[in-house]
Amino acid sequence: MNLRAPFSTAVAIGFGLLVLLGIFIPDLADLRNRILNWAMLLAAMALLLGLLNLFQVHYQRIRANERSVYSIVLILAMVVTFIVTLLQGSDSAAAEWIFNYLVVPIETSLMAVLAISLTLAAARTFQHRTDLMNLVFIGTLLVLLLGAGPLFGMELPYFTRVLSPYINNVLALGAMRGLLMGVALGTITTGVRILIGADRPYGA
Amino acid sequence: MIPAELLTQAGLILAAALTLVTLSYIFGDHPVFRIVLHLFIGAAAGYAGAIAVQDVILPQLIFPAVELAASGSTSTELLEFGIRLGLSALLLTKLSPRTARFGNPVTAILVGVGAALAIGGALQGTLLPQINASAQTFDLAGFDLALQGGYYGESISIILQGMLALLAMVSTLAYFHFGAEGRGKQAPLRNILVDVLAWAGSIFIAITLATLFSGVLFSGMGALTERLDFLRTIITALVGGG
Repeated sequence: MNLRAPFSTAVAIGFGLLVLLGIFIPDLADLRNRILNWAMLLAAMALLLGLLNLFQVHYQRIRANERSVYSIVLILAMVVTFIVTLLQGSDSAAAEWIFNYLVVPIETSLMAVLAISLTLAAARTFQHRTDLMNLVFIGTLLVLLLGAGPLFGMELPYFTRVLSPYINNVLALGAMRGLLMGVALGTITTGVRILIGADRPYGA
Repeated sequence: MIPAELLTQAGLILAAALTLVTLSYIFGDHPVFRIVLHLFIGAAAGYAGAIAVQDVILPQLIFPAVELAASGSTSTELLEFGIRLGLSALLLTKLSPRTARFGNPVTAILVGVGAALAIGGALQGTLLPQINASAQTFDLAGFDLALQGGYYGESISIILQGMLALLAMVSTLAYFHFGAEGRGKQAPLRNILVDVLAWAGSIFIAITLATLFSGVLFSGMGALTERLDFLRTIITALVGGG
């Protein structure tokens, strides 16, 4: 049985069009909601599939004795968290313990490391590239940092009350609007390419 | 049964240790940091998977199956359940490379629905509101008020600010315009007006990226301050015995 290109493409186009039309035609809303429910179930199944794949990959690494300590830690953490959260519920004391004392501290600390990495990256960029775009970037960043609040207990009113709001509310606002519109146009183009079958990112 | 207070204290010490190890990445990569990273990936993946099962798979697939088996149901409900079960089973064929092709139509459903939702979301959630907001770039009410009050400088400033915001938007869009006219055997050339606008756009984009960068930097600084304060509290409590 060949379930390749034509059938899968027809399925993607058909379901996509039904959902898209359901946004604009109220009579199709029920059908659209039903399809969205199926898609939600499939997305959850796909997540579970990803989890199984992660397990499979690290299990093979353990068997091959290839960086197995990391894989053992990952599999243990995944299995214990999965079972505890599933059996006792996400609002149970055990699941909250894992979330509050394991997931959140690492996540927040990674965010904190990001601050230092970004500062270093900005400094390195300034060191290696000095074109106009880069100078504007670093200059704007300095103005925004100086305008963020008091520096060593001293406020710089021209930066905090004039320059910083002007950059945020006038200069960056317009360009941000342009960027958002560009992203939206790109998203629509990509979506339309899938709905006309020009792109087939589903193994067809 | 472990007392709740002991669990909380153990949790706080574990959180402090994990925070220290993660922050130590500032000085370079090391095996303990990698272990913590794998612990985080495993716990986060397990948590996300459990939530997906608990909130979606159980209520949409397992509970209906139990209900069907227990009390019987109409043919419509049976058909609906059959479709859900069939689609889920087909998706699971993706686990093995030999059967993966049977899951392609189900992946196609996900992609098709995702594309349609992305189009609808981009159109209704971003493009139309942004066009609407662009049409209101000029603060006409403020301009009228300033003019009536005799604040001519203020009214000119309002118009200039609107023009600048509009120029920033148009030039940013021009920066990503790559259309060019063919010139026979010579290389295609972009329209001079688009070229000038694109140059201005690059300046505005640099300003916007710096604004976004500073936002992320401030969030990171906030997280760093919070973590350092947490460590200080834990160390004070441990040393002081509080």
